[in-house]
Amino acid sequence: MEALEVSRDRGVAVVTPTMKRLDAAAAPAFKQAVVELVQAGERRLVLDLHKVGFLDSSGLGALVSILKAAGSQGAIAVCNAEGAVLSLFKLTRMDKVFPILASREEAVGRLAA
Amino acid sequence: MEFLVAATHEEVSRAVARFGELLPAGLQAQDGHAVEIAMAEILTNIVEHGYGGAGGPSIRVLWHPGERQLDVEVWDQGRPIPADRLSAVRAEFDPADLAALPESGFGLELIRSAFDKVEYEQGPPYNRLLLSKKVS
Repeated sequence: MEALEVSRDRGVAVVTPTMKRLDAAAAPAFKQAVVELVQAGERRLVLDLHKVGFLDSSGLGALVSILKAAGSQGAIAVCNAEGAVLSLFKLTRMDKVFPILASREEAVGRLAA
Repeated sequence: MEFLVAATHEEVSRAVARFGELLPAGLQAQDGHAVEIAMAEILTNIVEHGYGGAGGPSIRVLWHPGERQLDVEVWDQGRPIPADRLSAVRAEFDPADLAALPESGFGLELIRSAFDKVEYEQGPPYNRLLLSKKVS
C-alpha cells in the first residue's frame, strides 16, 4: 500500500498519509516517499493528517526530517491533527515549529498566500 | 492482563493500539493519549536500542487498568537504558533554528510526563519498568 496520497491545490502539494498509525513501523516509508517529493521540487507542502489517528516520536521525527529537507526556502503546514496526534505536537512543543491549521483549506491558503 | 509482544515495529504497533483500547474508562482523553504515546516510546526504545533493531526475546507487558489507577510493568532482556538518560532533562530547542531541530530524543521525556510514577530496575537477566498513572 502506498504510504501517501498527493494532490495539488493553488501550487501547494497536499500530502495525505494513508496509514492510521504513523509510528516506527510506518515512519521510514512515509519519510522516504515525502523526501523524494521534496527532492523532486515540491517545497511547499500541506500535511493533511485526517487519516492518522496516532503519531509517536518516530513519526514526528519523520515530519521534522521532511521540514529540514524542504529547507529554509520551503514551507510546511499541518492540518486535521486531532486527538493523540495533536497531543504529541503539544507534548513535544513541535506545535511551535509546525503551523497547525484546522482545515486543509486554511493550510493551503496559508502556504499559497 | 499479560501480553507478550514480539520485538518488531509491526508487533509493537499492534500492541500499542490494543493498549489504547484498554485504558481505564475514567482516564481523561488527553491523559490516555499520553499513556498510549508513552507505551509506543517504551516498546520502540526496547526494539531499537535494547535489542539494537536485530530482534530479541518477546517483551512482556503486564497491564492492569484499575478504576483508580493504571499499573503497567514492562519486562525485556535487552541492553538497559543508561542511567544518565533516565534522568535527562527536557529537550530544549529553538523552534526557529531549522537545522538544529531534534528528530529524536523525546521518548524518555514522553514516558516520564505520561505517568505519575516511573521506576526502573535493570538486569540482567531482565530489565523491568514499573509505571503507574492515577485515574482522576
